[in-house]
Amino acid sequence: MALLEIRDGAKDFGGLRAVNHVSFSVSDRKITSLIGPNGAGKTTIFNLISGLLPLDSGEILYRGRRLDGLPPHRIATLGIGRMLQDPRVFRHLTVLENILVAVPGQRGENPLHAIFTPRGSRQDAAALEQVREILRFIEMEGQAAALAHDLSFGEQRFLSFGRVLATGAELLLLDEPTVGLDGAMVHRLSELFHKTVQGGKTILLIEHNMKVVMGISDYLIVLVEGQVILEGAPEAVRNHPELLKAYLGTTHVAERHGR
Amino acid sequence: MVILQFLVNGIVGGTIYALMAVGFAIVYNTSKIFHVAHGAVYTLAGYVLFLMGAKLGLPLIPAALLTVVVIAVIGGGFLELVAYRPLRRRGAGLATYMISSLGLFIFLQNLTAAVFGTETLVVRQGPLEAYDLGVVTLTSLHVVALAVSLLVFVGLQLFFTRSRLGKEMRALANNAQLALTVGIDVNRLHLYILTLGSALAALASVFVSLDVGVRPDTGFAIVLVAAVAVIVGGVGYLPGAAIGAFILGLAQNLAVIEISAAWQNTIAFTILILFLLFRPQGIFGKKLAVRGA
Amino acid sequence: MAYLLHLLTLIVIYSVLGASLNLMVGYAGLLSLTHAAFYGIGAYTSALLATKLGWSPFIGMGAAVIVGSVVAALAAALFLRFRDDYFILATMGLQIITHGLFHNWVSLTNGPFGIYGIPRPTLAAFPFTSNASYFVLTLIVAVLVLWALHRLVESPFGRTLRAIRDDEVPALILGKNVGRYKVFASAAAGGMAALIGGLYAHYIRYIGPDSFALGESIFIFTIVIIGGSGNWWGSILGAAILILLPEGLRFVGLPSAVAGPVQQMIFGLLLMGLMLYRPQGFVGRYRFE
Repeated sequence: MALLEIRDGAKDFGGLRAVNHVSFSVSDRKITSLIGPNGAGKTTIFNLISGLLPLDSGEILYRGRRLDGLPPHRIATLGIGRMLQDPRVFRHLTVLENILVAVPGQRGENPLHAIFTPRGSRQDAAALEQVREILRFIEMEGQAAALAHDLSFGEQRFLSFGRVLATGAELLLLDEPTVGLDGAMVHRLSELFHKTVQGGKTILLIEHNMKVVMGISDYLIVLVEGQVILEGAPEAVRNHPELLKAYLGTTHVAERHGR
Repeated sequence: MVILQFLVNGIVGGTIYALMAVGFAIVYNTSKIFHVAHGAVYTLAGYVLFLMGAKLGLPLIPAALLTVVVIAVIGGGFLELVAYRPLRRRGAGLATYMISSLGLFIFLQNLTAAVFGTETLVVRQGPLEAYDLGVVTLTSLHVVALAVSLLVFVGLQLFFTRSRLGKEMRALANNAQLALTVGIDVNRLHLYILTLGSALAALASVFVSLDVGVRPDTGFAIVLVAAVAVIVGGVGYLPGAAIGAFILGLAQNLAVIEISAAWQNTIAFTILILFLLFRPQGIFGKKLAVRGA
Repeated sequence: MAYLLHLLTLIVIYSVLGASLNLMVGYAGLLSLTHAAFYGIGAYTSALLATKLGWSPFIGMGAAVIVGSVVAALAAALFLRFRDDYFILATMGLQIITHGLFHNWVSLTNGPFGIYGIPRPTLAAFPFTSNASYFVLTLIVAVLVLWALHRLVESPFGRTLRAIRDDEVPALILGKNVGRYKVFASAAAGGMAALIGGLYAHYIRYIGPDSFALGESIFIFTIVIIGGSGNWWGSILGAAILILLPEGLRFVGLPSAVAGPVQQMIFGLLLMGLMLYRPQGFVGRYRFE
């Protein structure tokens, strides 16, 4: 049932305990949201799961298999995809290439194959079709040939989502995906998340936009100062006094700055 | 006791390297620019000194002082306004700065070669007053170089700890973003930084030029030593750069006895790469933060 | 006429040198100032195998490719973790160390005196003794190498390499083994440079350590920057410009003592100017940020 599990994870930075014995699990085919004030350690947890930072203690399990200690690219190939806080698209590649690059298992990525086997194989065609499907899904078909550099911020966000979808990952870690987007785009993106999970994927979401969180989450985990202080279904968590205490003062700031 | 003489030469040589290294480090620590053009500033200063003496007929001390001032102001100004500020305005990456600096260095170094030729030009005529201390001999130039350098280092220490400008520079080195938000005029500060760095290069060049004359090609070797010293001594810690340079200068002079000059570069850069690999913060530097996303 | 042929041969050689460095700089985003070292390693390997062991130059060139790529791969693996400017510095260091070895390891390389009497190759009793025939040989090898390079960069491998160049971290979390790509790109670039080094050695028939010093690396780097990073055929343009430039200067009538430094001054200005106004070079596709 639990696709991803963190058991007693801890991470220090110098004297600062960023992640303080955190344990939680993420259920298959659901959207779990990780919420909490800035600096609570949410992105750090994502970095730990992705393998960009090493755990100081504890374990991270994916389908029962330990992730901690594996290099980031290996964790990705196991089925964990990630959207970073900044879109960080590949600027000098086209929209199509950005997504195509993410499709795994392309033989042409092997340099010897690249030089000696002819282009235009069935595999290449299949990958291309996959990319076109994703472009249709994120509604960017018309921009396939545009350079990622020339896209608007919002479009880059959608592109980075399409990119992570192309990896075929089953668990998607999305780090504040709606920040900086206008209302219409936020709505569209949330819809896509919803459809993605309906299609069989699992999402672990970091979000500050409470409307989005309450609207699409199946489960909430509240992180404050590196610790899980509360978790449960949205309706249960929403009015919980602990939550209000944690957010008092920060919600206004969050709204004013569009985060 | 020839070794003692080499030791004395090494101390003087090391002090000169330290001046260069501190100048380089001041620029590097505050802007992370790998300021290769520093070597060209050094070379140019030598030729300006030559011109002051040979063409303008100025006596030694005024010529030296004027050289340092002229190079500091014009060199620093040119570097900041023409070379680096436009790049900063564009948000250029560190590699771009480095390549641009390299281009500027190549241009200036070859400019001096084209104008003055590649032969060594003598700046000062006649023998130096020498003080025979029995086992070693000190020339007046040695003494003056050591004394002035010492004053300069003390002055720098005071500058960075007591003066407002010095503290702003340290703030910039520590945290550029924060410095901006606190309202420090970063552009103007960079101008002063390059002026100060160039002044130190000019001073080093003056001493060397008075000793052995000027040539167009020594700039590169010296700036590389400065760079190695900064990395080995510790990025972000000025005294570390000075100490690193001093040790390198000393070693270079002493090593001439044991190892042929030909291997020096190879050894220096092997040490550099080893430090980059295993101790990038240098001997005295602090470890940098961990990477995340 | 013979001189023109010589210039054309050099242009071909430097086109391959530029294009192979472009693979590292423009496609992989690895700013290397050590390329002349691989060029030299190739030249010395092939020259030594021919003069000391009597090996056929073709086999010597093959050995050169292997030695060049292995050294390049090792260096890349060693320098993987370095940030941009430290990476450049480390490659400069490697270049200087390698030049030091060429210059000082006298028992192996004959030190500053260099290696004389490097033979021209013979293929099926056809000796490539004439410069015209050697030009054709060089051209054929260059075309083959550039074809392989073209295939490599236009493939999914090339695409992923460019993605890594643009932003490493997202590439990593998309499942790309970034280190392996960088090492391979370096090995390919180093191998190509070494092959051309061997070709050069058997062409010019004498090599010395100073042909493969830091200045040469900077020259090849300038070819890449001028022609344009991210577009390997731009390096052909860059090579042509940089080889023909000194000829142009001589035409203008500069005395030879000044011509050398003036040439360098122009290179320096070009580097600076390009970084300021057109970092992607004349026809490049990739702007340094």
